[in-house]
Amino acid sequence: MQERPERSTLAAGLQSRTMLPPAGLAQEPPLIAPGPAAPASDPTPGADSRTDDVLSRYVDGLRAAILRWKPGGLRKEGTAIVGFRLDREGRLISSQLVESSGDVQIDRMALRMVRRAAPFRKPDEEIPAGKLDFVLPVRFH
Amino acid sequence: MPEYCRLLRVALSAGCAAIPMAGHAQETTSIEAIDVASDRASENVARTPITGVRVDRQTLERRQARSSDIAELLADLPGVSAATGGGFSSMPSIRGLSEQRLTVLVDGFAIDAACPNDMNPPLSYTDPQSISSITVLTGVAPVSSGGDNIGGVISVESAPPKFAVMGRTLVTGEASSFYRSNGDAFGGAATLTVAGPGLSATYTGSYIRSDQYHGGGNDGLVRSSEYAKTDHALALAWQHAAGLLRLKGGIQSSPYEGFPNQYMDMVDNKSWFVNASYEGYFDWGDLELKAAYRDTDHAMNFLEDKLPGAMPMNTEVHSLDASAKVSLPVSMHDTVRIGSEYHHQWLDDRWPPVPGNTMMGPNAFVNINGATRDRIGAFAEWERHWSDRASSVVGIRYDRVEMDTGTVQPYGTGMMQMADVMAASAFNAAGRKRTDNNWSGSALFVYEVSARAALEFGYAHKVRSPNIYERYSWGRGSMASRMIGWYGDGNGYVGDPDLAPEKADTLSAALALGGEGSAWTLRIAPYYTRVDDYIDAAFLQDLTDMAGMPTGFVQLRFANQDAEFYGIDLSGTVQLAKGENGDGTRLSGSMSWLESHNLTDGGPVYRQMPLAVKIGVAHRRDALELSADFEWVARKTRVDATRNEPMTAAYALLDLGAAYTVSGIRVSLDVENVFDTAYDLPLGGVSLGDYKATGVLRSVPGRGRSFNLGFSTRF
Ligand SMILES: [Cu+2]
Repeated sequence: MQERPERSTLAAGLQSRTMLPPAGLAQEPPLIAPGPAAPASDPTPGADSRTDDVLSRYVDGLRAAILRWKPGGLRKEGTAIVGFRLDREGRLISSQLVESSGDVQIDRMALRMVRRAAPFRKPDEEIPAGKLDFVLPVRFH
Repeated sequence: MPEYCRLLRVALSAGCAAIPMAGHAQETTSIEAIDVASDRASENVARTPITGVRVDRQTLERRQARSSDIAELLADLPGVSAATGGGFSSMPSIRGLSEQRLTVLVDGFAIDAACPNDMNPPLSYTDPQSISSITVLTGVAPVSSGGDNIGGVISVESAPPKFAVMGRTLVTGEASSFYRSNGDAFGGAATLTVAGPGLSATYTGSYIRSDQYHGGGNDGLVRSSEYAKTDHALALAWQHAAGLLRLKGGIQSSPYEGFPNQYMDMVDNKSWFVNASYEGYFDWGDLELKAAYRDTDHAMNFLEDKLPGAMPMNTEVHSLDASAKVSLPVSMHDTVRIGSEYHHQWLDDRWPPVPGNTMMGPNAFVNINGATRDRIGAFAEWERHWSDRASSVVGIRYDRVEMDTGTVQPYGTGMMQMADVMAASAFNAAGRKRTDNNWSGSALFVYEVSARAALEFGYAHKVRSPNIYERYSWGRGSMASRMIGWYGDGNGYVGDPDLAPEKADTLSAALALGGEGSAWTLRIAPYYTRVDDYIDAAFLQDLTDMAGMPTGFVQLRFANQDAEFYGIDLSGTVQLAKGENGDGTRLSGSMSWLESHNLTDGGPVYRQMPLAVKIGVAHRRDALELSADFEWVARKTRVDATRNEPMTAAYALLDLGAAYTVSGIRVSLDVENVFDTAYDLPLGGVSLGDYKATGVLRSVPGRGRSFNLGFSTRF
C-alpha cells in the first residue's frame, strides 16, 4: 500500500523526479516516484537550459503538492484553468480563475486545491522571480 | 541523449511551456493538467461505492416505456424490490426494509406521506421520463445521508442546472412519449432549459395515464389498476463567483389512481411545493443551505371497479424542511461534515359523513386531528483517506422527534358505531404527546486491494421513530381499521401511541472484482440487520361479516417486535464482444437472496421477496440496440401467518427489446412478458378490487404481455 505523504514531507516530495505519464492518460500518476533524482551526468550545455531543468523540476513538485488536495467523488465533468503567482519564498501571492469550466463547483474546487496546497517549497535560486507565474488546468471526470 | 533533448522531452511531457523570451520580466509557466477522477472506490467512500448504485438518464430512457413507476424500475437492482401499490406508487423495499424505514429524497428533500394507505409515497412525485439520475445505497449509508431511518437510501435527482458558455445562450431539452398496449397506457414528457452563463431556467413536465391492465394467461383484468397524473416543475438556478443558488417550484395533479390491493382508491391528489437551496464553495469548505415547503391534498373514494358505494376520505399535509450543512477539508486526508436538519409535518385526516348511511354518519370521522411530527437532527461525520487505496467515513447523529395530535371523533354514537365510540373516548382521554431521543451512528471502510478488487465494510446503528399513523390511528371498528395500513393485505390496523422507535444494527460487506476496462465484473454483497422494536403487528381480533362469520381478515395493532434480515446480493457482467463507441454485446446477471425472521413470533416477516435471478443480454451496434431479459423468481413460501399472507408460485418471464436511433430520435419497441405468463406478484398483496367485484380473493397478478413503444429525442 502506497501511503500518502504527510504534510511535513511535502518538501521531500519535491526533491525527487516525478515521472509523468503522457498527457491525457486517465490513470492518475503516482504522487511521488520512488527513485532518487535523475542524475544530470551530461555536461551542462548552458545556463538557460539548466534553469529550465530546475524550473521543470520545481513545477513537477508544485503539481504533486496541488494534486494531493484533489477532492474525491465529485462526479462532474469539466476543466477549469487556474492561474497563480508565487513569491520567492513559495508563498501564494495571487490565484484566480483563468478559464471557467462553466460549473462553479468545479471552478472553486480547482482554486481551492491550489490555495490549500500553498505555501509551496521555496523556489530554487536559479529560477528567476519573473518565472513564478503559473497556469494549471484541472480536469474533473 | 543530449541534454537539450531530455529537457525538451521533459518540457513537452510536463506541458512546460517556459520558453524564455528576452526582455520580458514576467512569463507564465504552464503546468500539465491535473486529472481528478471520481470513479475510484476509495474516493467515493461516502457514497458506499460498492453497495451503492447510480441509475443514469440513459438507463432510465431505455426503461421509461416499460413502467411509469420508479420503484418498479428500481426493482431491477440487486437487493431492491417493489411492493405493489397504484400504477405509479409502488413502495421500494431494500434488503427487506420498506416504507419510512428507507430514506427517499427527491432533489435532496424528504416528502411526507399524506395518506393512511401510503398512496402517495415520495417516488410517486417523480416520473422516469423526466429525472436525470437515481442513486440507491443498499448497504450501510452514512448518517449524513439522513436521519429517522433504519434502511437504505434512494435519492432522485432531476436534471442539474446547465449553463451556457460565456456570451452565449443555451437552449436545450428532451422530449419523449410512450405507449403500452397492456392497459392502453400512454404518456409524454418534456424538459426545456434556457440558460445564460449565470442564470438557468428549466421546465419539466410529464403526463401519464393508463386503464386497468390485464394479467397473463387466464388472469384477465386486474381491477382498480388505472391511473393518471400530470407533473409540472420550474427550476431556476443562479451561478455566481462562489456558489449556486437554486429555486424550484412544482405542482402535481393526479385525478385518479386505482389501488388493486386496497379498499380505497385515490380520486384526487394535488401537491405543490417550493424549495430553495444554496451551495457555496469556499476555500475553507462547502456550505449547503436548503429549505422546502410542500402542501398536499389527498382524497380517496371508490373508482369504477369498487362501486357502488361512497366513502370520502380527505388527508391534508403541510411539510416544512430546512437544513444547513458544512463540509470542511481540514487536511489533505480529512474532511469533516457537520449538519443540522429540521423537518415539520402537519397532518389532518377527516372522513366526511355519507348522507343516508347509518354507519358513516351523521358526523365526520376525525381520523387524525392536526397531528404534528417535528424532527430536529444534527450530525458530525469524519471522512479520512488513509492512503490512495483506503478510506473511511465515521459519523454520529442525534434526532429528536416530537409528535402530538388533537382529539378525535367517530362518525356517530349509534349502536353499530360502539367500537369506535369507545376507542375515541379512550384515545381522547390519554396523553398523546411523545418525544423520542434517537442516537445513530455509522462507520464505513473501503479498501482497494488492487486495481481489480475493492472491499467495503459497513456497520450502522440507526433509529426510526414511528410515523403518525402508526402512533395515532385509533379506530377499533372493522371498517375504520381496514382503512389504515399500507400492506395490501386487506387487514385492519390500529395504532399505538406507546410505540417505541425501531432500532437497527446492520453489518454490510461487499467485494467488487473486475472494473473499468475489464471484460467482466462481479459484486458480492452479504448483509445482516437486526431490528429491535421493529414495528410489526399483533393480533387483536378476527374481522367478521354482517352474520358474525370470520371474513378471513383480521384486526391487528401496530406492535414493537424484534426482527432480523440477512441475505446476499450478487451481480456481474461479462463483455461478450466490444466494438467502437460503446458498441458491443454484454451479458449481465444478478441474484438476490434474503431471509427474514420475526424473532418475537418465530415466523417470517411480512412481504419479503423470494429468491430472484435475472439474466440479460444487451447488444448495440451503431444505431441499433437489442436486448433480452430473463427473470426467474422462486416460490414464496415464507409468509407471515399473523396477516394471513398468501404464498405465491415460482415464475419465469422473458422480455425482448429493440431500439433504433435515426436523426436523433430514438424509437423503441419492447415486448414485455413475451409468453403472456400468468403469475402472482410476490409483494402484490391481495386483489381487493377484484374481490369486491367477483367475491373471489386472489393475489394481485403481474402484468401479462405488453407491447411497449417509446420515442425520445434531445435537442
Ligand atoms: Cu389514500
